[in-house]
Amino acid sequence: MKTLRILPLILMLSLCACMGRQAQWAPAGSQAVLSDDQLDMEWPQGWMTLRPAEKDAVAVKQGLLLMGTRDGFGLQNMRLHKRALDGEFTHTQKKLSAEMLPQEVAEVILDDLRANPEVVDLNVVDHRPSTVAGVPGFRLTVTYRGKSGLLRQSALYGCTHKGMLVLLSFDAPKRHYFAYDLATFETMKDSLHWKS
Amino acid sequence: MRRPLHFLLACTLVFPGCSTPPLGSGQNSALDEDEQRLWASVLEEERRLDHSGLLETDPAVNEYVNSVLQKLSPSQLRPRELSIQVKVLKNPLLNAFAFPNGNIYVHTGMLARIESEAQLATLLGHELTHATHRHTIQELRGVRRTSAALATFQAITLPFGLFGAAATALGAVGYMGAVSGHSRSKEREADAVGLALMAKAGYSPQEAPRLFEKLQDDLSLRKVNEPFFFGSHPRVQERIDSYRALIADEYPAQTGEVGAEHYYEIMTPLIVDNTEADLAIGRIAIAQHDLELVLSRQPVNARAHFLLGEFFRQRKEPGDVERSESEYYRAIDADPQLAAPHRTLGYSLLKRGETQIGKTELRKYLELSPHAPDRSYVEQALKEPQ
Amino acid sequence: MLHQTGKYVLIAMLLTLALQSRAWAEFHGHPDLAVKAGKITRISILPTQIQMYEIGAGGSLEKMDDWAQTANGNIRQALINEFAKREQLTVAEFSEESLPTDVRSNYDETLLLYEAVSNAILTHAFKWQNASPAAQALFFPEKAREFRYSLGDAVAQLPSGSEALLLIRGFDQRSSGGRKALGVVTTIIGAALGVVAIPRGGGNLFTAALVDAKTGDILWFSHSLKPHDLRNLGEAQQLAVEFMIDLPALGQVP
Repeated sequence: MKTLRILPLILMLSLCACMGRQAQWAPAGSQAVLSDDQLDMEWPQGWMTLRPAEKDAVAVKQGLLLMGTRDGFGLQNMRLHKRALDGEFTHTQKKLSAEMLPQEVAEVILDDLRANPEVVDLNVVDHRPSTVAGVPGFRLTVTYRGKSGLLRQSALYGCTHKGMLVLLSFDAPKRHYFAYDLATFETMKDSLHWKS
Repeated sequence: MRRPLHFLLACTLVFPGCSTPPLGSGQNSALDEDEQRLWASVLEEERRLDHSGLLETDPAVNEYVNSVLQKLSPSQLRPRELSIQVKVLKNPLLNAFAFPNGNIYVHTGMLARIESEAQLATLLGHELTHATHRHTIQELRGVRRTSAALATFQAITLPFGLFGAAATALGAVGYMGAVSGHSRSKEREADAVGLALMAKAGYSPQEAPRLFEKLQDDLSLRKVNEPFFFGSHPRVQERIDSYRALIADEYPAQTGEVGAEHYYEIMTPLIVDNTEADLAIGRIAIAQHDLELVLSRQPVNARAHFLLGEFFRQRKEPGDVERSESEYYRAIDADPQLAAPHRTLGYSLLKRGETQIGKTELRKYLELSPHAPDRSYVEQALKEPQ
Repeated sequence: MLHQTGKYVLIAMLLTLALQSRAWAEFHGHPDLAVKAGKITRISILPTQIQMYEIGAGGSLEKMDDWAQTANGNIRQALINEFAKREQLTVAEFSEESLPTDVRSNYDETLLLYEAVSNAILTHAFKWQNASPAAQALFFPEKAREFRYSLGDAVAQLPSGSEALLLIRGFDQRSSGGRKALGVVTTIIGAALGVVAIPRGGGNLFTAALVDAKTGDILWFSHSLKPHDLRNLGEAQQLAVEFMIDLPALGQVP
């Protein structure tokens, strides 16, 4: 039991040690993405958003700016990522470059998904060109089974612009939850724009 | 000099005091209560693996690996004692593991490294012994008494992304054998008994250490720490040393079937598919190595030429655009009906301003693959002005 | 990548270790519960999903299928006994063994989705007393006020012949050296995030959900952290009563 009692203390201390912005939950609409992000978007009303802590290495690596949910992340989550084009992916060792076509970028994203240990039985349902924040990009829809075995579906928009990779994703159980909030996601995607 | 192996065999096969006699030894091999629970939990792990969408479906490969395993099976083993079977997982990581019920899973990444049927028999004989000698339950009984148990049971996520085959699908039992390996004494026992099985089946024992020497050489191409067969470099060296000692003691001059040609004949399509997986996760050096090896044996393998083109496209060194295009052309020459090289060649030509030829290639791609998932991209590219 | 709740959530939830569990069941009801409950005259108890583990002296965790079989049999019998006291209600048989293949996959998916839904409900719809501020932030007041969760209308294809389905899910970890209920919340956290954290003394959590058999809406959801040993029919009966106290009258127009 001692270990269990000490664990939160250690965690709390480590959180205090790395000051800087902590992870923040807030109702949608009450926080901007980030002042220096150049990207803005309208999150659906009634949703909760979580902004990762400033020193969250995983979030920084993935370029995760903000994520939101209404019922819980396992039931639906939307995420906005923006990171440098030459950054590393979590699972594949492939790299992006500025001269890549949108479909080539999408292929690398798919390879990163295929290499994700938590993703099984991945199927690409749809893969087509799209426009993201006014920039030519791609739209992917995939189904897969996650850790629990539940069949999930994801829609993902992406583009490269100004040396950055921008990704906007929506992930939910395929049954009921994906279709339920897909229109909300599309509306949110349509609201994504560059500030400058 | 023969004492170590004889002693080992005496302990594991004959000694009546052993609480868990090997299956197939003719002794009472009824499963204990905890072992029955283990087997039940294994079914769930196997179900997840079998439904991961990553089982190799090529009947030639499946029949071949299972025929090799059948040759190794101890004659006294009753079918109801163990379900002896090999399943191949489409996964480029180096791995192979046996469940306690006798089902062995081998990754395509491992099969791509093997050079002969005798080496495959070495691997399968080793894994089969883990099952017949009930190593998993013995390890679990030991680990249950230590605090290490927590780490073992909770370590359900591998530190390196598997290619789709989820580590999550591989539960605690598979994890134990697959990633960390068994204890040294169990591994040595699997070496000794497995080697005896493959030698008895007529394979050359001299091939056994070569498998592990090859694995050790190839690790340098990988450049990453990945969970893999026997856990780590030092443990591969242990296998090499162990097999060399066993051969010196027991089979110094014994030769037998090697079966390199037949192995490659069956496995080449699998090896090519495996390089595609390696390219997807960005391990281009090993993909290049394997593709060049395939092409040295089969110079007109269209898919291998196409994937070598993909390798050059990914590598991006000076001159790689030209190299990739020439590989795409070779792929098309080898198999004009293969759609993918027309697409990649088309885009490459478009990027270089060769619009007319580029579009011709893209049209050819759509003609060959009318239901291509990326059709809308190609149609968009075809509509763009010159 | 797609289904990661993020380590911030994990950290936040781990900070709830200090949380003290309530010793009675807590529940939430769908906004339409009162209206719909009156129309429910037949109910199917889906095969209960109680998992049991033995925690060894060294901290190892072993799944005990024989214990679970007894526990599942007991809780099912206890629920049938309780429902039998309600004159307006009939309990319909539901056998997973007799399901045709296509319906079987629907049934499996229903259980998997219920796992995700119940984890989300536990994480966001209940305000855990004495939790740290980081953990309190996981409480979504809107979800507690307007309790709407669903398993989707695909449940209508399950051959239940009932107006409602009752789903029971939970786990019980028992140390070999004796029963202790400390560390329960660690286990809940583990369940919610798919991370198995094993408290040394063992933990347990039982959930119950009443689901509209046509729409899949969760009409009522309850959970208990009481350390009932469901291998004992008497204790299973206690848990059934605990759940039933909060379950509105079914088959009776209010």
